[in-house]
Amino acid sequence: MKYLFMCVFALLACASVATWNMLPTTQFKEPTIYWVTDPNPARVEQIAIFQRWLKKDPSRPEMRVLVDAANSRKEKKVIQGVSGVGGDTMDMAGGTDMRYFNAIGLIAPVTETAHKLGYDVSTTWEPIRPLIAQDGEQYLYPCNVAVRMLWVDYNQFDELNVERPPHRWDWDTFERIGREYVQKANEGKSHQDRFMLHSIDTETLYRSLGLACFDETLSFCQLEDPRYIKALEKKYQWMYDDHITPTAAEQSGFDVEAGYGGPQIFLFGQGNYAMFIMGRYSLIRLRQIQQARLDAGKPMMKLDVIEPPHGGFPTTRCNTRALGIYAGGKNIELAKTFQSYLASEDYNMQIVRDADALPPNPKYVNTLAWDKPLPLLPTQTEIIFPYEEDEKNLLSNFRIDFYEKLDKIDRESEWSLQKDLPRPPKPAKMSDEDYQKALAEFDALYMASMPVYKSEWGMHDRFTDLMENIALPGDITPYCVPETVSMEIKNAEDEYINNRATAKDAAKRAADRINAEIQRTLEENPDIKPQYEKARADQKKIDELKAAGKKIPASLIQNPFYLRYYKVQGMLEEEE
Amino acid sequence: MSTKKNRTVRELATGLGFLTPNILGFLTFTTIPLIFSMIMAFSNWDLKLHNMFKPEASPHFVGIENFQRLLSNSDFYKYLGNTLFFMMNIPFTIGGSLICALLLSKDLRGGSKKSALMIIATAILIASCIMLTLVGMGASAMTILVCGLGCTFLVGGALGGSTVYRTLFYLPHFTAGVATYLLWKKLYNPISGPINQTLNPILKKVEVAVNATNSSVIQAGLWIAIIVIGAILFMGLKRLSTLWRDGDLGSRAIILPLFFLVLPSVMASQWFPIQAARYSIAIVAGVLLAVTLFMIITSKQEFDCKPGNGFGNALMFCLFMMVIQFIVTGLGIVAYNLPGMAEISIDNGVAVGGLSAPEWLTSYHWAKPALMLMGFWGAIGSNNMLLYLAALTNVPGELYEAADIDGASPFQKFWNVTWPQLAPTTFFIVVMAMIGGLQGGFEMARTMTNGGPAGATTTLSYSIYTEGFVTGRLGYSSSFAWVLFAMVFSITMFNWKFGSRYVND
Repeated sequence: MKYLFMCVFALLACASVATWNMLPTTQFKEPTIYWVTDPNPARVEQIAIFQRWLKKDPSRPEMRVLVDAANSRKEKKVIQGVSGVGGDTMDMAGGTDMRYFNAIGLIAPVTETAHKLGYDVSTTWEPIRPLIAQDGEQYLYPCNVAVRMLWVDYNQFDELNVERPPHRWDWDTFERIGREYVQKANEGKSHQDRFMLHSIDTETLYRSLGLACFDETLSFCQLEDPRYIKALEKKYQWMYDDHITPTAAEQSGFDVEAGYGGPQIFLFGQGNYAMFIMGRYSLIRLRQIQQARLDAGKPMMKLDVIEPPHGGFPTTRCNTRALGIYAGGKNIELAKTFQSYLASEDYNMQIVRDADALPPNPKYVNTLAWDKPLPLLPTQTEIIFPYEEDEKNLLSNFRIDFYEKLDKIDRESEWSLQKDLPRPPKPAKMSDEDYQKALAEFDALYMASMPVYKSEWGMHDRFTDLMENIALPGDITPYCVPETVSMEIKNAEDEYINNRATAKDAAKRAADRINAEIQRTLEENPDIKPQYEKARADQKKIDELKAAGKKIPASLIQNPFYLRYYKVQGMLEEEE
Repeated sequence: MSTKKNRTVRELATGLGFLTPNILGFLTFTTIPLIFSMIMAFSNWDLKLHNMFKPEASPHFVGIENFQRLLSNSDFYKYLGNTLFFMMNIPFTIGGSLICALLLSKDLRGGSKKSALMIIATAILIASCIMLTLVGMGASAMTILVCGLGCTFLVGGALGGSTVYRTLFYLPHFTAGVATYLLWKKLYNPISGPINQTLNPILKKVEVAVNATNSSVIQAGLWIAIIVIGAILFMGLKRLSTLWRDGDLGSRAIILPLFFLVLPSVMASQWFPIQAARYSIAIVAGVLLAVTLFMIITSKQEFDCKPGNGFGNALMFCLFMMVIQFIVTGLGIVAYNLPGMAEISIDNGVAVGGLSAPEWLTSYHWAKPALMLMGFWGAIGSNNMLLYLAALTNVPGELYEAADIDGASPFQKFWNVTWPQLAPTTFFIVVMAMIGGLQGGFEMARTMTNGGPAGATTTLSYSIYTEGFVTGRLGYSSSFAWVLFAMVFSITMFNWKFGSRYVND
């Protein structure tokens, strides 16, 4: 028996050594860093582009990036992080995760390096800046930026002879169109299976009434306000009285697998929802749906994006998936190089083309490629047409020519690849036969997919417009864990939706519990008390100014929502 | 002598060598974390404030502050209530396991070849009829799939005998929890799930019938419920007083069973929708209880009995009666509300109201029973069934022979021979089920409902997880875990004290 035991022991030891040798980090001679992110197939391409980007500048270090998609859950990141074995770089929901991770000390500040390598906060969208920096220190840089919009398929409205929703609409218009839509769409059915909108979050509703979850100094939850109660009642009304949006049971009743972006995109493509709310990244799946329709000979969806309905102050939410660097990592400098790549043209243009939300750097939306995405960018033509180094001018001329012609084509116009758009010239070393084959490949790709991409033209600028004008990040108080806030709000809303509390009681419950949580956090962490007390004193001044009908100095306000709201209302005193 | 000593030392070393990996594993992954969590429970350890990145701050001893905070937190009692609600499953799962074990202990392949063929042919015929009917009805693919699977089991069982069934019944236990939860999520789908697809046509027929009937006729069901509850209570009290009089039940042992027996009437007097019904049930229960107590106090026991004797039997009997009374109470309330529930109205062109199947996981009221039902399914074929199967083989055959000679009926044989012989196993299963029940519910809540809606399915174990890893309060979360341990320990001690008495009764 003991010999058997020894054999098993030896076998396990050998297996351990073999496993160690097979680890990805030991496979490459260059240093390797891990990127803890979601299992999106686009990451493979993004890493391939990164490796190419590294080689463009000899001063950049040699390194490898490996995706770790198995540990992307927040709890895992925290536990591994405080145990000293966190991933070198980690994706996180900007704002909420940043504050929590930073409170723990898990993420390294990058302000100085970001400034040096050209990826400081000024290079990204303004509304996103509070989500990647805290107390003047930058911690993250966006991988992408999402602004929540209503996706609409106009065909569904046209078919039923219902008025198309306008780009900006108030609650009354929403209700009028919604009621008509659901009535006509479900006529004669035993149960309702078509809804105008998948769902809408309460925060967007109450913010459009001029209320934020927290006050101007983020020190007090004010959800007991009648405007929150009104938002809750509207949500209930649209679900249970008007049937414009489905109840939770109706949503789960559709019984479809989620897939990337959630089941609502699939159900939107099926016609169960005429609209759904999500960021630009929905296009990743919408393109597949459009392509499938095209291949099946079905009419394509007439897509557009519009604003969520408002109660007086048009607004929507934005957020970011941002990259942070593990403070306990062994390769912090390499991780910073990878972080700086997110601000590069190479990375941003990949986001632009792939439609994985908005690029981190807004300057890349001022391109033709942004408004008129293509199945294969001219930059990628090198893959089909391998040009020699001295022929690169051919390629650049082709690009210029291509975009000049492309500019003249719009979403509605007829076009032909041969007549209206140029095709890449022949590389010198390519045989005629191979060139013809490459052209055929190029043509086939364009002809098959171009209609799908063309159906989006003209609407990408709306994302930019809304990001710059009405999008705002969610409220995040520094005085308690964001998850606790969302959990309390969800519980209170569930109580109301399940008829276990009135809207007023639910609102009071949410506010009371969140404020109690703030007090508990202050007790547990007295270090933040002075900051809190200052915030309360500032809030008192703000309340006095509001009561007197005077303008409020911007320096007193910490809540980004109120900075925008008061500015629009003409109540903000902007200082130098 | 020296050789013998050397051999002993060598054997000891070998034994320790074998045991070392296990001991090390146990120390590293169980004992040390356990001690560590005990220390944490008395500290203010917060992941945000005390970790490797903040060497300047260290957690400090806060005494019983975490426990005080926990016990004054209303959420704790809510989650405890949820956990106890799920534990109401235990008697049913034990009963189910016992029934399964009794059935599976029979030799299904016994008898002549002719009868075996007859069984197989009948099973195939039944399965074919079911499938043809479903296909003809245009049932959903999911329903056909589930029923098809059921039919396969039926035919498979007829072909393979009890071995097939034993394997099938044990299947839920060795299938990964998350996989079965996802399957149940499909089953509970409010529109396309087989459960609601079966319930909806039935409910529609009931709806038509209810709408065609005078509402007062249906609402009379509430009064029938009062009569039935009164009758059950009468029977129960009569049985208790008889046991007491005959010296089978001690004067101290009667208190708790009596409480459980009367509890449904007390609750019904609060829950019934009309005042007259509330008063009626209160009067009926009050009079019956008063008469029984009067009889017990004024009469003498005919045989001597110790105050604590007969507790186990009386408790089991009264718990059973309590469950029946609660069911009747629920049915009475449903009968009263049925006409209102079946009413249909048209709102914005869409028909609303009427009877419809539950929204299961998304409804506050149904989410808990839905998870409970799923737990029941998983538990009947679990280790409990195996333990009962093993215990059944140990029941001496002579006892059954003696019962046969005495002319005992099958039920009498079960009640007087099998059940008492299974008492030690039942006791063990009850103890383990209670421990499991208090600690359980995490995977279920995490996968199916995320603890919602409105915390309806948040159990103590799920709450420990959220406190520890979502808010980062490790000290507080540990105190939660130790309070749970204290509860498990107390209940187990209670079981040992009173349960072992029941086993020996």
